Amino acid sequence: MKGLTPAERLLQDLGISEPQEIDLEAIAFHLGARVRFRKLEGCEARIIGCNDTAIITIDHSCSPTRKRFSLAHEIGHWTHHRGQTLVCRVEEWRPQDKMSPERVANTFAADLLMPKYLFATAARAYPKLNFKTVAGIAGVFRTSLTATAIRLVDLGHSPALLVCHSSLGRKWFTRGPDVTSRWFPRDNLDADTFAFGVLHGGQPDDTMPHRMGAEAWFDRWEAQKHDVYEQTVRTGDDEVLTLVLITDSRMLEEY
Amino acid sequence: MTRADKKALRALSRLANALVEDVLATSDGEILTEFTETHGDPRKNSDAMRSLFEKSVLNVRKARLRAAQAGVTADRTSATARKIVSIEDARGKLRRVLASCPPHVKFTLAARNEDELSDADVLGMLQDLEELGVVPPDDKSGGHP
Repeated sequence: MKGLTPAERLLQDLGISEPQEIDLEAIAFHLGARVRFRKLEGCEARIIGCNDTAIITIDHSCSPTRKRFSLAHEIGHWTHHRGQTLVCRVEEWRPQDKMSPERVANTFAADLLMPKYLFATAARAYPKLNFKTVAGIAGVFRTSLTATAIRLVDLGHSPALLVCHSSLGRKWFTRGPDVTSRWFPRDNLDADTFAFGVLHGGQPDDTMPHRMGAEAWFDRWEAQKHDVYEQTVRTGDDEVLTLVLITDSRMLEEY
Repeated sequence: MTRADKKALRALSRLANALVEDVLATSDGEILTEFTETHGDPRKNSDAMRSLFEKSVLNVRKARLRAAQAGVTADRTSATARKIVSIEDARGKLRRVLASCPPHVKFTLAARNEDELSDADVLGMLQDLEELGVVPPDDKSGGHP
């Protein structure tokens, strides 16, 4: 079990060898935590524990993928923060502090829902990175489109960035391990991008990636020499998610 | 143990020592040749044995998962409905329980997107605390754990 994260070790300890076997309620029970689905008004999920037993409550009105993420997140708290009292606020996908309890619980949740030892195998079945691939894998792991896209980009399926925008500008982004840090996405969507049309122009989701001048995405002089591929889908009333695919190998060279 | 038994044991021990010495004196190549003659390809055999061990380990681990799934099913059927109580009393009780948790009790609390607790949340938390045994179900004392 070398090189495995705590969540992956837990899954292997339970003999989980297929994504369909990731039964979060059973995993929680194995760790001494019972799960209740009830109406929650002040929060989406909570855990109350006393010594080595706990009750995790999940808001029953959330979507199935949200419920799974919340449950995995609380199992993360139970694993890493036992004996602590934490108050979690609404946060963006990735809190800044790497060791913050929320970030630790989110990372645990991603590993529990999409363990690398299963995810990499599933991802290999899809040679191209696009939102059709993301949706296919999300269906297998019962995860959200956003969480699955982040995982695919972070694990380096293909050289790419994933960028989330609202009408106020860029909310967050993640960059694949093969993409150098000099490619930093612009704060605001360029009007030339297809993403702009989806967010502001009422255009439908892109069904496939489109070629676009890299300068529309990156504020660097050398961007003018390259093209990227972009594909955008709407993930909220005022939120779009864009895959920016780097296919020009010169963009991946280190200086 | 009779004298004859002791004699037989000593003989057995000498035989075991002789066999061990024989094995230790044999080279790896000789052992592999002997194994191949008797059982066939050693690599194939070791792979088959490894696979057997891995399968056994996996089965034991999957049994843990099945046991947990059975536990979840049993827990679902035993979950009880909440009784109606005064919300003022419930809020006071929750406040007291959270404030007076003794140091020897390892208490864990985390809530996502926590805002002000609604009535339903207060009642839910009290129900959880009752289930965990922190508060007795028919506590009249004010909920001291």
